[in-house]
Amino acid sequence: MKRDKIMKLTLKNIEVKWGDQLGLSIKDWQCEGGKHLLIRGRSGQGKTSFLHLLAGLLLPAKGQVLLDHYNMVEIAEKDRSLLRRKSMGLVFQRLNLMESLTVYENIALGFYPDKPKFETIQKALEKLQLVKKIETSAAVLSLGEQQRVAVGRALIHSPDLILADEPTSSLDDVNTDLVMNYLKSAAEGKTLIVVSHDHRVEKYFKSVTDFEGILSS
Amino acid sequence: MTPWQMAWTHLTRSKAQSLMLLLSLAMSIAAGGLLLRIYLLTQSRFTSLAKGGDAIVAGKASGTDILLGSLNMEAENPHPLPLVLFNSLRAGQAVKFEDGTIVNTSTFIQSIIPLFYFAKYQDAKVIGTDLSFFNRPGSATLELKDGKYFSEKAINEVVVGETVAAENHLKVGDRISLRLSVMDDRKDFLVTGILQSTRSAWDRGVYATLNGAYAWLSEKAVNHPIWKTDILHYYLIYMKPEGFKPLQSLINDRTVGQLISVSEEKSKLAELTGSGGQLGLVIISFIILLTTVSVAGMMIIRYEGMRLQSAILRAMGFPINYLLKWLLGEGLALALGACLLGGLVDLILFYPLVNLLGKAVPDPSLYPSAIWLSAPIWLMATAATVLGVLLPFRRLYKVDVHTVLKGL
Repeated sequence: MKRDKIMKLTLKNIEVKWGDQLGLSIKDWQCEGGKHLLIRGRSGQGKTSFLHLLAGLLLPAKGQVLLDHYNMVEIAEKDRSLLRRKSMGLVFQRLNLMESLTVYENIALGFYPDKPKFETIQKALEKLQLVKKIETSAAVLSLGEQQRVAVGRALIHSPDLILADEPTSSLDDVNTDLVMNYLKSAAEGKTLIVVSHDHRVEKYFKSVTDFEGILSS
Repeated sequence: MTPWQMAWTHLTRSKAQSLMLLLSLAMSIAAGGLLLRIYLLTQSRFTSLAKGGDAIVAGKASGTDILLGSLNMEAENPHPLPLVLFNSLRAGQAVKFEDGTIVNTSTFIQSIIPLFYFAKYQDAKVIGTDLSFFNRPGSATLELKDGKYFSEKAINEVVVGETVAAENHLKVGDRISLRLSVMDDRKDFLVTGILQSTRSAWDRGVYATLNGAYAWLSEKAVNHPIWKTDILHYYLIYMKPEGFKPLQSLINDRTVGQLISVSEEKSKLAELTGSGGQLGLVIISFIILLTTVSVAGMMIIRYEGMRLQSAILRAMGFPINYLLKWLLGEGLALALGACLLGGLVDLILFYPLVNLLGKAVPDPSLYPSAIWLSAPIWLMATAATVLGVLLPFRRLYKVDVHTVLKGL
C-alpha cells in the first residue's frame, strides 16, 4: 500500500463494544482533508477511543472507518501499521515515551524506517525549547517536557494526519502556547484533529465541535 | 534506530536487570560446560584403553588400577614384579615353589609382553619392553609409520608413539632426552621408528629396550632391594584356551603378583563409567532444562514491563517483525555474553575441579579436554535463550494496543 495524502476521514454506522455492552456509537461523521478540528468533551466520553478508531488501533464491532476509500476495518494489520507510520502522527493522552531512550532517540523513532535527520530533530527541539535536554533520558523528564517530546515525535516525519489526544493536559499556559503553536505550524496544509477538554486550546481552532454531537443519541 | 540498536540500548540502559540475567545464564553455562567436559574426560579414559592381550600380571592392586595403569598408561609407581618370574612364564618352564609345588606354565600362555615404566619424555611415559610388544599374535601387530623397531640389544634406542611424535615434531633419527622416573637424570636416546596411530593409549608412549632401561638404572645404582634392576611392572599375556584359571591360581596364590582378566575388568570399568556417564548426562540435561526455564521465566518478567513500550511502537506503526528482531537481538546478545563469561568460568575452574576429583577422573593432559568441548552447551544455551525470547514475544504480539495505551 502506498499513500501520499489523506484527503478525507469518514466514520459510518460505527458500533464499538466493551464486552457485550455498546461503548461507542457513531452514525455518520466526516472530516475533510486539511481541516484543523478541535473536539471538546468531558472525560470518559470515549474521545480517546474515537481517535484510536481513526488510527486503526481500535476496530469497531460494526461499521466502516474510511481514510479516503481505504477501510481501516478491512485492510490488513500490516497495512494499518504502514498507514500509521507513513501518514499519521499520534500524540497519546498518556504521553507514552520510550523510557529507556533519550529525548533525541524518542523523536528519531518518528523517522523509522528512514535514517533520522539530526538537523530536523534539532530544529524541532529548538521550537519546543528542549535543545538542552537532547541527551536526557525520557524517564527523568518533567510531565510538561514529556508532553513536548511526545508532540515532537508525532510530527517529526511531517505526517498528513495528526491525531492529538489532550496534548496540553500537563502544560502550563506558556507551554500550552508553545505546543499549540508548534502543532498548528507543523499541521499547516494537513489534517489535524485534537480532542481535549482544555478550554485554553479553543482559541487555536476555527472549527470546534462537541464530542456529544458526534455520538449517536 | 534499528531493532538491533534498540536491543543493545535497552540492554545497556537496564544495567542491573541485564547483569543479573547475564550472570545467571553464565553460571548455568559454566556448570553445564564443566560437567560435560568432565563427562567426556571420564569417557575418553575408557575409549582410549589400549589393546594388550587377554590377561595382565601386576603387583597387588585393584583390577581397575591394573587395567588403567597398564593399558591406559595411568600407572604412578606401580609395584614391581621380578623379571625372573616373567622369564619363567615366557619360557614355559616348570616353576618350582618353596613348598615343593611344581607348575608347568607352557600350557597356559600363548605370548607374554613385558612392560617397565622407567622414564619420561616430556609428559609421555617411557616403557621398557622388547620386540614382543610390537609383534603380537594374530593381526594385533603394532605397525610402524616410519623407520624401524629398536634393536633389542641396543641401550639407547626408542620407538615413539604417533601422538608423542606429532606433538613434539619428532622424526626418525632425532635424539630425544629422557628423564629417569626415580631420580633427576637425563640421557639422550635415538628415535629409530614412529608407530602408526593405534587410536589408543599406545600413541602416547615412548618405547625403549629393557636392556637400555636396566643399563641406565645400573649406571645410576638404582636397585630394588631384592631383585636389583631386574624388575618389570606388568606382563601382558595372550592366553591359551582354558589357561586363565590355572595361571590365576598360580600367580595370585603363590607370587607377589596378581592376574586379572582384561575383558572382565573392562566390563566392570564400562559399568562404572557407563552409570557415572549416564548420571552426568542426566545432570547436564537438567541444567540445560533449568537454564531454558529460568531464562524463559526471566525473559517473560523482563518483557512484561515492556508491554507499554511495545504498544507505543505498534501504535506508531512499527511492524511486528521490528519487535521480534528487537527481542531476538536482546536474547542473542545476552546468550553470547553469557557464553563468553560462562566459557571463561569453565576454563578457569576446570583444572582445579579435576584436581579436586582426584583419581575419579584421568589426567586431563592425557586426553582431549579443550574448552571447545563445551561448545554444545553454548549452542544449546543460545538456542534456549532465543526460545526464551519467543514466548514473551507471543504475549507482546497479542497485546491489545488500544487497551494498553489507555492504561486499562
